Amino acid sequence: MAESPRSYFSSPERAGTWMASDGPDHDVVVTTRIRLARNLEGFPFRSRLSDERSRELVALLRERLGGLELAKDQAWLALDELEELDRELLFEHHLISLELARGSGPRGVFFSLNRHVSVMVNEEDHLRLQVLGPGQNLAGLLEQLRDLDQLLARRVAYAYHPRFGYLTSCPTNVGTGLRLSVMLHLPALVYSKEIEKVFNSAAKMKLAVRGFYGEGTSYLGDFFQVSNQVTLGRSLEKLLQDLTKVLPKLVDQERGVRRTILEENGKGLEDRIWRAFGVLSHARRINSQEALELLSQVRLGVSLGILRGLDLKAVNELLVMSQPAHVQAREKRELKEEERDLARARYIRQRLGEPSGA
Amino acid sequence: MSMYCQRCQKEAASVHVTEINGEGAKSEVHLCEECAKAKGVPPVPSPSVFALFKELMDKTGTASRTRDRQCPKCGMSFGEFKSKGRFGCPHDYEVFQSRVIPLLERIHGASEHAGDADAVAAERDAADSTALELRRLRKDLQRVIKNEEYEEAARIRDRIQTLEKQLQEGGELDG
Repeated sequence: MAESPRSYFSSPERAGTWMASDGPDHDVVVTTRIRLARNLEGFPFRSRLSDERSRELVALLRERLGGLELAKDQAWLALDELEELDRELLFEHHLISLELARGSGPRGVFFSLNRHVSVMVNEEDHLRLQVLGPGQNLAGLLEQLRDLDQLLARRVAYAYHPRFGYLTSCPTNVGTGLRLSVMLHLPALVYSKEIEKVFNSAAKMKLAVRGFYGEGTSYLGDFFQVSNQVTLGRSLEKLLQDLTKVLPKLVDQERGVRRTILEENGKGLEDRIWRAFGVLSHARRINSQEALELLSQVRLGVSLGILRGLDLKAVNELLVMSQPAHVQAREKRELKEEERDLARARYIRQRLGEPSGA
Repeated sequence: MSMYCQRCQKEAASVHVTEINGEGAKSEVHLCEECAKAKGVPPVPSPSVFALFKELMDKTGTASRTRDRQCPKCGMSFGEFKSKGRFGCPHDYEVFQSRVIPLLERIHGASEHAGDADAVAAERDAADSTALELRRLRKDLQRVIKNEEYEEAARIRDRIQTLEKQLQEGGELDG
């Protein structure tokens, strides 16, 4: 990717490279993301890293990562040299974390969009290796991530302790450094207010439930990220097993409630979904939160077969493209909030096929 | 120097109370345990094990080292870690090990890493790096062929051939 994120992500085809594709259990599991936290021996952690040593670390990792030859589209972006809009785009695309997007100092991201891989450099840890994919693909992505980890381990010396495993800046990540996470779309569980129960049982199983963009973000549009909380004392396989055992139950629970609502209050549900579609396909001005919430209803409608002209891929693409930085990338310029709301509404109308004359 | 109880004047004073009168003037009262109870002064909790330990350490002159011990590599103290929630360098885990272990038990219900150290093992065993890359490339090749990305497939195939050659030459050298 030689272009800037801004020009690259301006087309919906590219915007949807990983988030908008189809994948297993796609009606409930939107995406899977897995990351490993790693640090280098011989460098202090981020909190004690001077700007000078940060630059040294970033230069070293950039060189080592570049030598991996992951794919022909691999790229390095120095975040401290990017404008805010480009950083926000990468964040909205889940290629970098909030901390990396809005942080300061020398830092960067190495990635290959084709391979759905991103490696954050100088985040909370020196390295955050990440693999992403549509639908439920925990096992497949974990294998891919381990390969990447092993390749990199031969090019840098990881900070490793015989008792504690991979050492991390925060003790909540120590050991495996592994975070398995799935983004779930749970509108029926939210609607039936059973989501509280899910949160409670997740907590009991040491699973964390987070918002749309992960750590420290709020719940939006019935999308939730579920991930393991424990990283130490269980092997990668065990952690994978723990989550893959729970996940089908959650998925079935959501599907079950969807069916129940459809049977017991089908007309009410249909009405809600068509109203959401109606607003999206006719609104002249819409903010990102409202768009996300209505698209969540539309997504439910598509997976229940109520809305037939659309597929999940198209809805996911709209979810991606409705985000503030993506709206601006499409328009190829920075926009004020009000202009964004107008541009967003226009784009969604077009994609949903606004009836002529409306 | 021991002091007699100011109330009964018989027993040794063991309770020391600072009283503040209406004008804000402070005065100290020294009482024995009996008289303190009679006057309604709440009993002082017995010193905690930690305080006793601290006292002991103070006497032996090692307390300051334990309390303010800093990592020799990054200068982080455990107190600073506790307020920030982030360690200063990998070495901190070793330096503060005795306090890290209970902390990890609380967070993870465990304090020992289980299994997988294969990335590190692999790091020290560079010999099979080529084999590993080959494995990955062959997987990639299948994927790109499936996606009909023939240009990429040709590139990967060339890389596989180069690596295979390398591996053979390496083998010959060994033999």
